[in-house]
Amino acid sequence: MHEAARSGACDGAGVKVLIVEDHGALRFALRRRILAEFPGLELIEADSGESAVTMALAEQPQLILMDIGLPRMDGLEATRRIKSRSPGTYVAAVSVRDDPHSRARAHEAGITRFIAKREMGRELGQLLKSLIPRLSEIAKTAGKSQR
Amino acid sequence: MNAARMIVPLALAAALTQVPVRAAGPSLQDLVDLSLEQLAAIEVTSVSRRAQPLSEAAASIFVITADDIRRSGATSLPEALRLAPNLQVARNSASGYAISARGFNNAIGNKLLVLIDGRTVYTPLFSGVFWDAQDVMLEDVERIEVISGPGATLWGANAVNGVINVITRPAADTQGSLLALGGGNLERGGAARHGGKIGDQGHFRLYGRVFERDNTRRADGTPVRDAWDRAQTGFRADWGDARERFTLQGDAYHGDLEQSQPRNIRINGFNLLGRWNRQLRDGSGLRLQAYFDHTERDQPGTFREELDVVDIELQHALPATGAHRLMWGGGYRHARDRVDNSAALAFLPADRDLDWANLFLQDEIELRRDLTLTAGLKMEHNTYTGVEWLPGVRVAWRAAENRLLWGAISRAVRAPSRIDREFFIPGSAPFLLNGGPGFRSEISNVVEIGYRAQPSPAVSYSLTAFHHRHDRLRSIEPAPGGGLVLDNRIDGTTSGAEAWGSYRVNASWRLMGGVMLLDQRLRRKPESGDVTGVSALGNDPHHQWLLRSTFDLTPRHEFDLLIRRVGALPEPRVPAYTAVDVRLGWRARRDLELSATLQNLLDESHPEFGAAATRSEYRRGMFLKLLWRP
Repeated sequence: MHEAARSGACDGAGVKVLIVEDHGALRFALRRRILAEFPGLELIEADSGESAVTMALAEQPQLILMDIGLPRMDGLEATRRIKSRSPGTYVAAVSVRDDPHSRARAHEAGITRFIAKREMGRELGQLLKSLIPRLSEIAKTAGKSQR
Repeated sequence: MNAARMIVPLALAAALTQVPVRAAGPSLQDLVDLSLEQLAAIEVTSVSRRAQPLSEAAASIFVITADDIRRSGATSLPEALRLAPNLQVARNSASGYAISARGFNNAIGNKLLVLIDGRTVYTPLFSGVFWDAQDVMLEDVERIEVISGPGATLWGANAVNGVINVITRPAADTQGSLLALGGGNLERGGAARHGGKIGDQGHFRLYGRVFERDNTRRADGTPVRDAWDRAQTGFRADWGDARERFTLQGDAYHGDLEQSQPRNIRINGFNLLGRWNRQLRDGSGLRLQAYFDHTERDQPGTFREELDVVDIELQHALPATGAHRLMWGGGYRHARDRVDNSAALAFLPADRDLDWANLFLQDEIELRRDLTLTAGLKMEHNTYTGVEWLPGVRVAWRAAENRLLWGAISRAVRAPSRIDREFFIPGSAPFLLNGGPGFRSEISNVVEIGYRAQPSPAVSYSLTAFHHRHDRLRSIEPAPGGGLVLDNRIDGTTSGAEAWGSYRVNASWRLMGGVMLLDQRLRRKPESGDVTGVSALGNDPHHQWLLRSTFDLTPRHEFDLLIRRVGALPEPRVPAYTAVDVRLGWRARRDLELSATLQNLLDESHPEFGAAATRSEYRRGMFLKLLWRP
């Protein structure tokens, strides 16, 4: 079991994550990788920009892992539409292209964290470690205040 | 449909009908369905590697006959497999199927062995079947033998949960011409075949077949780019006599599958198989078979693969000596697999040569006139784990005429494939997921007991109870670097029952029903950190059943009904569903049959497999077919 889950510090409970990736194998690996470390979080999936927008607005995930290179509506356009309706959603982009221009366009679209696909194995772990416990804590606090 | 593709079978039919051969008319067997007595007398070969009556086969075997296929309106091999109550068949895209027996169903399922006329259709990438690459001319299929339960002792590693053996008719039984054309709101297709004689003792047939299937849709109506078309041609020649027979057959195909990536998936392949059967003077039978199978799969954005397989096997069935009936054999297979990797995933090393070699021995011992014990052992060597031992023992007691009680104990192994050892996501380091260099074979020890009977000329049935104890099933474990690695840390059991029966109400009406019950108890081993592996492996329904009715309204009109009920899948959740197919057939002339099939009559669409956000739905369809045997 991964460190975070083993230590009992945070299993991601209360956090909803949307994976947007058109490639089935990558979607599968991301799902299993995230759940291995944070088995308590809720994972939902989309394989196109259009369904990402629909699901993000309907399900209100706290974190979206967005593939940029999607057919038809790409990840940048999907992010713009999501952020225009749900500005508080944290969107992390996963992109094959890693150059200053791509990063700048991603940030303009509202993407907070940019991960090059070739660095995904390492950077995804860092992102999850830093973000999920915070989001989980916020979710717990919100749950208590609602009670 | 692409007009050029449609022309292929038409042109073939037109050209072939000009060939000056002494072609026979359609055989009566083409046109009439089988009585229950004939059904019980059907000879099957998958259980003991020799022809034996279905009524004496000590295994959970269901036979899909040619007439079953014709009266189901099935348009492809996976759709025809829905007729077997001991199989799980689920579709999740225009071309994507998950097919298994006794659970572990998955789009890349790996516990079922599939043979087409003795050729193993298997990819060493994941020990399973690319169903979009498998096709046969359904009108030329003699029967499909579906065994649920292990067949490893005779068929080798990977025959863990079942064996599907598709057997086409000998060329002598497909003489003359045949043209099949069909179309509907979801798919269209055509096929042509012509058979003739070669000298005094030989027969041949040639065929061509094309079809296309439209894009599918999601539950919300969103279209999915997964339309595909496929063309296949092939031949079969048989010659010889009862003492010595030769078969030479081959197929070549091309397919084009749309996907969300800019370029389509392309599949190509061809195969050539030769078989020699010889009855020796001492009463023994020799069978030598060899084939070459070339497949190409170009899946832009994922991978490109070229696979060449050479396979040779020898089987020697000795004459009965006292109470013993021995059979031995061996085989060798070489696969040359060449992969071009992508940014998304990789097989490393990209190029791999794999070898399998086996020897088997089986003894059927007649303990009493009514009691037979069959003991067998196969030793199979594979590149990854070396030698695997695959023993099995079967006992059959013919309690009375047409009543067989049987039991079996077997050990089956699912040997590692490339995905288990050499698979990486993404395509370059650092990886999110990688194959396990120490991945070992999955093991299943299986106990079965069954009863098959035909208590009256109108009734026949089969009952089977089974218990599989699995060890070292595939898990995905957290690795020290933060990634995931494949390992063998799930075990558990699957238990259940399979039952089916047939009832001939009268001369023109037959009912058939089947049910499968499945109880899976899988668990992580204590050292496993795979929190989702158990639910991912056991995504199967607890039950499914089907009911078929074939009714001859008049000697020329048929009304056929198929009702299938499949229980809910737990994770990803798929609701239970009931699908109803109805077919109306009309034999307009002796050589011409027209039919209309309505598929999935009850609902506009339903899902069968996969996650809600990424799966397609199986829609209501209509298919009109013309079958002409001039």
